[in-house]
Amino acid sequence: MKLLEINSLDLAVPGKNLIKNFNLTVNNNERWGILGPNGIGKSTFLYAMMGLNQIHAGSINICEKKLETYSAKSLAKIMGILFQDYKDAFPITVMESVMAGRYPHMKSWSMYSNEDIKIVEEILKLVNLSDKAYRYINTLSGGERRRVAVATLIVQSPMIWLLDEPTNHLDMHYQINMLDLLIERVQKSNGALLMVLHDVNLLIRYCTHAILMIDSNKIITGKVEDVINRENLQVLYNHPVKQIADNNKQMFFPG
Amino acid sequence: MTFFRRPLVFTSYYFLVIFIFVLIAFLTSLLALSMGSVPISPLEIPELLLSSSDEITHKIIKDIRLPRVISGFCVGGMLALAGCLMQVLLRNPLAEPYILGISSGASAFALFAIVIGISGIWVNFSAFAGAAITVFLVFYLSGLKGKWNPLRTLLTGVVLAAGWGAVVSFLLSISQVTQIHGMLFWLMGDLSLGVFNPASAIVLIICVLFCLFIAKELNLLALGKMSAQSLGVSADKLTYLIYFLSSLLTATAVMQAGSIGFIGLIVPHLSRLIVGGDHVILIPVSVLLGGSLLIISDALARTILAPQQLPVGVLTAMLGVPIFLILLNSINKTQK
Repeated sequence: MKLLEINSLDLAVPGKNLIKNFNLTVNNNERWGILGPNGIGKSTFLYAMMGLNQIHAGSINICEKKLETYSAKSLAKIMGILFQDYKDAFPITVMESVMAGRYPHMKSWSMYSNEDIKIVEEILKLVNLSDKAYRYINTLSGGERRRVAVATLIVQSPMIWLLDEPTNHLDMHYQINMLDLLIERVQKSNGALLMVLHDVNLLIRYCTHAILMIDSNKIITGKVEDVINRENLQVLYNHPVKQIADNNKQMFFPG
Repeated sequence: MTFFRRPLVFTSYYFLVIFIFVLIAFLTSLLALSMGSVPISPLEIPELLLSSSDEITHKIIKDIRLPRVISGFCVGGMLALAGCLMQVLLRNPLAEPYILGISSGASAFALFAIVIGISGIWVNFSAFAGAAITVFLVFYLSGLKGKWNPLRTLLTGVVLAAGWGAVVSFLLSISQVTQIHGMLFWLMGDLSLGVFNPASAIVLIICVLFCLFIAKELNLLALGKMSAQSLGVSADKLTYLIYFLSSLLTATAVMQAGSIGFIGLIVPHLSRLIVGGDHVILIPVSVLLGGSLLIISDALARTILAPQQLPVGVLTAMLGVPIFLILLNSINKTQK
């Protein structure tokens, strides 16, 4: 099934065109990595798919139905997003924060059941935060807060996973640990993943396809082995790139 | 405190907490009914309320103190609930019912009515009109570009409040000395004007039920608009609804009792410190605690310098500020 279909999409923010006439089809079990320089519109693109900001032309279909036909709640069952950053206005506990991910699966008027709590506790174990379940999120470190957000998304368990720089604030161990965990969940859901990354080598490690956002008219899409190469990356970042081969795997570093 | 802070399940735990706070409200009411120029033992009060004698104590309780206690509970509950809603609406823990200029608008209109010689219930209606006009102005000015932005809303409200503040000062400076005392009670809040007004009880009950129905959505909106929307809440609709409910609550409270400070700011925080941030329990606890705090403040305002009465706003601050600071401090220590 086509999980996500984008037809001649135009996206703009006041004073700037971000994306012009863009087409994309995402199927089950595909993992798309999105690369691009700062300010090119990677986050805005993810938000648009989630219906969080307006598109100027074109259409987005989710599971072969128009995005506009979904209510917020029915969309949240299919699609979830990990934001780049979280600003917490109120001190709530880790437990309460992760519990928010259960919302799309609950009926109105119902309260959290013991089953909800069990689900949350299990996932807190996976992100190694069991011992901090009743800590306030504003007392956590940046990396711990990030893992709370990852846990919330896993609790939401969508089919289309949108990740905006998932490795932000995470140390080397947790970068791999969290991405392994997320990808395992994506596969379990038989869904698809789109993630914005700044690390080409992580993209090669985890993604099957890539989107290179060079400018509004020039967006390269394709399989990782076809589009991730030295020439494209140099054009993309306007910066010299070094290439190293390790056991037949290509790795790229800034020159 | 840790007993109160755990994931909330619709079980005996929830009802136990609610029961404790209902009990506090009930005992506070008994205490307030017993205080006054004619002291009556709290133990006699239930009996006096149920009997139908013509005794003077019975009349004092039923006709003078009881309406005032009920009106105090409603106003306190409305302010606390409005505070909870405003804090979610503006995503700012410092938000309180009056922050968007609602009370300043109400005060300016009430004072204007007093200056031009209107009296009685019409001053209250004038206050309600002032509140309503301010609500509309803030909504219109901050929503001009279609997109709700908490920061712009906050700034619009604060600036409007400053404008109304100037009008209030102007009215105070041109009014006669005999009028100033009454005006001061408007500005500091006073329950003695209010005969028990059934409208405020109805508004409170409807709003509490409504808010309990959307409590889970409020939890999510408190995380931020984008987060809420991506987790399945129609954030725009919910924002307008909260704005409407909190404005209605504030305007009704101000109409009934003038602008009583601190309840709307302190009670939601106090409740959050005791039972946590889940609105399913935060809302009923805030309403009960707000009502209780205002009842006891009003009882003290009536009696502390008797026969002189103080504006109740003075007492809410005197009670609320130390309680809040002590609790905040003790929580900070247990956190470490």
